[in-house]
Amino acid sequence: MLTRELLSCRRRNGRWHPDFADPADPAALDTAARLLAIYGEAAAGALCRSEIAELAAGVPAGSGAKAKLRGGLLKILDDNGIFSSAGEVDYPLRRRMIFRAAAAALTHSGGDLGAYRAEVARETGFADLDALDPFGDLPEFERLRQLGRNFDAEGLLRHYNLVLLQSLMLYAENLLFELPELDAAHLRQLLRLMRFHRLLALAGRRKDGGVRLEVSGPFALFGATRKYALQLANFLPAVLTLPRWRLRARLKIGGADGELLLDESCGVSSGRRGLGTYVPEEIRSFGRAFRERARGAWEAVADAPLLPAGGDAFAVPDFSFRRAADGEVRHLELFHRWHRGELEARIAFLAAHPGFPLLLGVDRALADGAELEKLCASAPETAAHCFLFRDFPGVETVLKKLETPLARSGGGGNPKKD
Amino acid sequence: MVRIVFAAGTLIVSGASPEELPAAAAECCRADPRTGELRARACDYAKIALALRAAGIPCSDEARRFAPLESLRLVEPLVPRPHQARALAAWKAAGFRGVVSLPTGSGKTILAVMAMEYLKRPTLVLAPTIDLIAQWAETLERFFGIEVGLLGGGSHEVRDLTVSTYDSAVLNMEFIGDRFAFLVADECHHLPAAESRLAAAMAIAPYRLGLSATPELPDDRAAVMRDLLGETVIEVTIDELEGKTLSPYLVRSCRIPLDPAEEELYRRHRAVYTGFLKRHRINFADPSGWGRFLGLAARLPEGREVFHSFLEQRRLARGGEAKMRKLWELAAEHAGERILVFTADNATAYEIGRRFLWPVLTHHTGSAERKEFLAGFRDGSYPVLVTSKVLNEGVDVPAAAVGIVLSGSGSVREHVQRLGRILRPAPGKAQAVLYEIISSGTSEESVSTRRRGHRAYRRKIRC
Repeated sequence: MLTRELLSCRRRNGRWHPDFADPADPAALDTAARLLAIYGEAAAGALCRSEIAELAAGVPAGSGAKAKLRGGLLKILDDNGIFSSAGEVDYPLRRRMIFRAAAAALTHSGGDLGAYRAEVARETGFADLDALDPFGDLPEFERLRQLGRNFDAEGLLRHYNLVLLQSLMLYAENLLFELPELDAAHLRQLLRLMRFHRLLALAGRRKDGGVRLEVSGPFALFGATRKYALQLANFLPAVLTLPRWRLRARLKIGGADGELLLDESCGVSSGRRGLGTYVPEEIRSFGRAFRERARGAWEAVADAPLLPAGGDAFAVPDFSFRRAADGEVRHLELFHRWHRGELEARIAFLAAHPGFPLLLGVDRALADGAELEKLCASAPETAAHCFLFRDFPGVETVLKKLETPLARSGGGGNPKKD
Repeated sequence: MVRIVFAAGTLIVSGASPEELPAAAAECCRADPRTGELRARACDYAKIALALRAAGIPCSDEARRFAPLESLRLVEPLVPRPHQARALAAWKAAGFRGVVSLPTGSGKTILAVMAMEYLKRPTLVLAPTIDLIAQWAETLERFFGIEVGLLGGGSHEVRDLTVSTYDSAVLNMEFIGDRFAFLVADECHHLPAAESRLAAAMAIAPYRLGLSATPELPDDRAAVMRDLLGETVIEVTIDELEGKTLSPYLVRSCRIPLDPAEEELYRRHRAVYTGFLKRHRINFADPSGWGRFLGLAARLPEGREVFHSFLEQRRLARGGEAKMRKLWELAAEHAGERILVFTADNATAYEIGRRFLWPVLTHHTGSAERKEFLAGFRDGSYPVLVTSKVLNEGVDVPAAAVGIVLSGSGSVREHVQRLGRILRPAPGKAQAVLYEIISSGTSEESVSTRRRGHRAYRRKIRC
């Protein structure tokens, strides 16, 4: 994200106008290319942050939006950089030696700074104390090892636009989306991602069949808060994958209040091909690890369905898995600390539909073993559907659970609605 | 039957329409069009539950996930000082809610321990910094002999007694806001800040105690603190405790002129900077003044030069060579005592560390070194400790007898808190001294005047 002083956005007549970079502008492309070259060289030469800053100072900054663009690109490259600590020196040990010697020297230095430093140099064996920096491991001395993500100049500018828009979301209290022609599948995906980001929405159908979605956090009902700003910013890319969208947000930046109105014509994209391809990092890394360890016995089904879960309720599995040997499908829904009510509802549903192929992963922060047992007490067979995890389930645990026989086969299909 | 459920820092109230609820409960609830439910702030839990009970309306209270901690007892005996006993009584009389204003070093932590021991309920303590939460955890473990949970500084462990930074509490309260019956807000003047207030608003804790040496707040923040913690129930001043609970102290103000070369440089940069302010009629008394300055400096062709001049004139005033010499002179004069050096920024703190070979504590300092530096300072193996802001508040360093403010902001609160670092009594500490080194003839003079607007600075002595 960009810090406030790097936000390139003007306010005119009560409206905010972000200065998005034009990915075809030769001057902007030149700035991006030069900064990328500097970071490329810096990674090859393992340069430290202060050295990179010196090199980057050679790229003309200009003023106004140009200066902010340059600053923003540098911030993005710095955030994407993988840095390591400065060299092989054990700085904490060096400091301990110097400070202890200095403590002893202070009492008998007689106020002579030169004599004091000479004594410390003598006691520590650091003859050239003047050239030696006891704080050589501060962030500005960390060395660039590689860039976490490879950009070309145009890609960097496009990414800058996304980051600028997300950074502006940090000053929003809620987001209002108008999404024309949104089909049910995409809506489900959006709602699933919203749940993942612990957000709520006031949703309504538009006359054209589209959807109006006002997204905010639970506590936002009681007044303006930016607590959910990061969640909103992280949710935003999901909407940007849609072919048509309109965004309205009220932003308060440094005491200045205004409205932000944007639609797909602004050219900002999430860099992903479609909503289905937007997968949060935790789920992505789980999927990778699952593929490696399941060794083909089970495969993760790309798009988990919505499952009827009694009454008007739907279960939105976090994962669905298919067994290679017989094609049997099992779904997995995860319940974190804030899902207690949903967990109780799901256990009640499973009690009414024994053998339904839905596994329930329960975060230990929600319930420990004894509490889970208590929740399953009215229908002990549902306990076979459940397992405990901490924060996010491990692949081995899930694989083991997938192989556990359930009370009675539900045949992989959906139950009749109550 | 009315049902109350905790939901992500809020309460869902079901089973009755607003009209069917008692007025005191209904006024806390709002219809949430997003979910079609009645929703209330978690902090209104006690108000709603009490209103339902008073009206005799049956209630299924599924909001709280805490139970009494009958086994919570002191393993280290504690004899309260008179002002602590008075404060506890005042807080109890106010319905176990409220803010206690006690000077730094007078034992606010002990007061909270007494309250916890009395209530015997799961407790969450909020504090502003990582150093402070570590200190709280250590104190609670010592007095109660049980493991204490920590949230912040890389720790995420929730226990019956948990200590959290305000920031971590804001992030976690939607998950843990139902687990604690008692909320203690240390340095509670931080609580009403725009997002920090959610740490208390999203918690159901019916019992609340705010602690601060400087609870006075401007604008609407005082009302926010009253809403979330209660009224100020007692106020004890430094003068009442000086020489008894607190160490006697002196405040010495040292006005040092800049060296001639630096003065020339200062004047040049200052002229560029203030000329720009005048030309563009930028007034920092206006809340948008700073934003306007940054915006114009970024936009206008001469902006970079102006901003450079702004930084340079500030750097020279804050840490010129003459100040450095005075700092060294004072350190030598007080050799053998424990000295805390305060700066306004990290760069100056590290410059001092490099020059005088003293440990520096900033937010960059790793946790192992933080502990080592503080322990070394307490036991005397590191007699001088340099810090920019992380030791401004709360951290317990009773051995500190000398404070040297090399630079700082114009905040009265910051200055009072810095004085507080040296006021704790310690064996062999006859008198504490706070030095303030000011570059005379610079903008620091007005900054210094602003920050000394507190009764604790009446006895200023020139050095």
